[in-house]
Amino acid sequence: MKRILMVLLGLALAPAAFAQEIKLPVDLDKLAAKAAETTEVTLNGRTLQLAAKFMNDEGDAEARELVKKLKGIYVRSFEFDKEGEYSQGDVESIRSQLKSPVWEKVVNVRSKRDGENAEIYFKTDNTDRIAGLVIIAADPKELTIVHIDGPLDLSDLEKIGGDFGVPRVEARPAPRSAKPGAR
Amino acid sequence: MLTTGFGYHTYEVRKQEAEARAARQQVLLALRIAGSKLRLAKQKVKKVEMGEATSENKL
Repeated sequence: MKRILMVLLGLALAPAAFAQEIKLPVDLDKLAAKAAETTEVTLNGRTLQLAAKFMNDEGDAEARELVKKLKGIYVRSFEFDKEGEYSQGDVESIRSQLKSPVWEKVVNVRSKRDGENAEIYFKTDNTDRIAGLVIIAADPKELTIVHIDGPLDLSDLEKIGGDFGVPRVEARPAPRSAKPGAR
Repeated sequence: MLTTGFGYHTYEVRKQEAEARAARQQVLLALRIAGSKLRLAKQKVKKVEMGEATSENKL
């Protein structure tokens, strides 16, 4: 009986473990103190739905359709004046959460010449669709982590890569920190 | 009483609109950063094809 209960408990907890979100470690926030420029965006599902209602400008349509189906967007970007302000441990704390079978690393580029590294991970759900995306871009003087939580398809990625045609003047990084939505 | 209630309702609506506009700006900013990093990765992959970096790319 006890064994059956344990199995049932394990089955009950399995989906929760699968759906677990990426935790952006507290240490990353400490990097903000060293950074010359910090961009922090934390948008949960509720905030995204709210934003979608007001994305009615010309050129917003594609972004609105994407945003409506997302559960969260989280960005941490740090620009430093000099090299060596963040450690590989800072990056590893994120990387260690992106493990198979939930996460798959689809792009891993490491450049010895300029020290610019880029990693892209996809989260797949039970139907093998993309259920989330994490980008880790690490340069000697810049560290950026982007986590988009929610269903995406390749056309969405193309749209994101193309900036949705949104004019550049629409949004600029805050000099220090911007945090409109709580996680 | 009615006027106070209407005033409060208007205040709440305006507050929500302001929050939504701020959220919209943050969404566009986040997507722009994500887009720039995706393009960066794409450029790096192209460089790899020319033998300038090492990579694994399953896309």
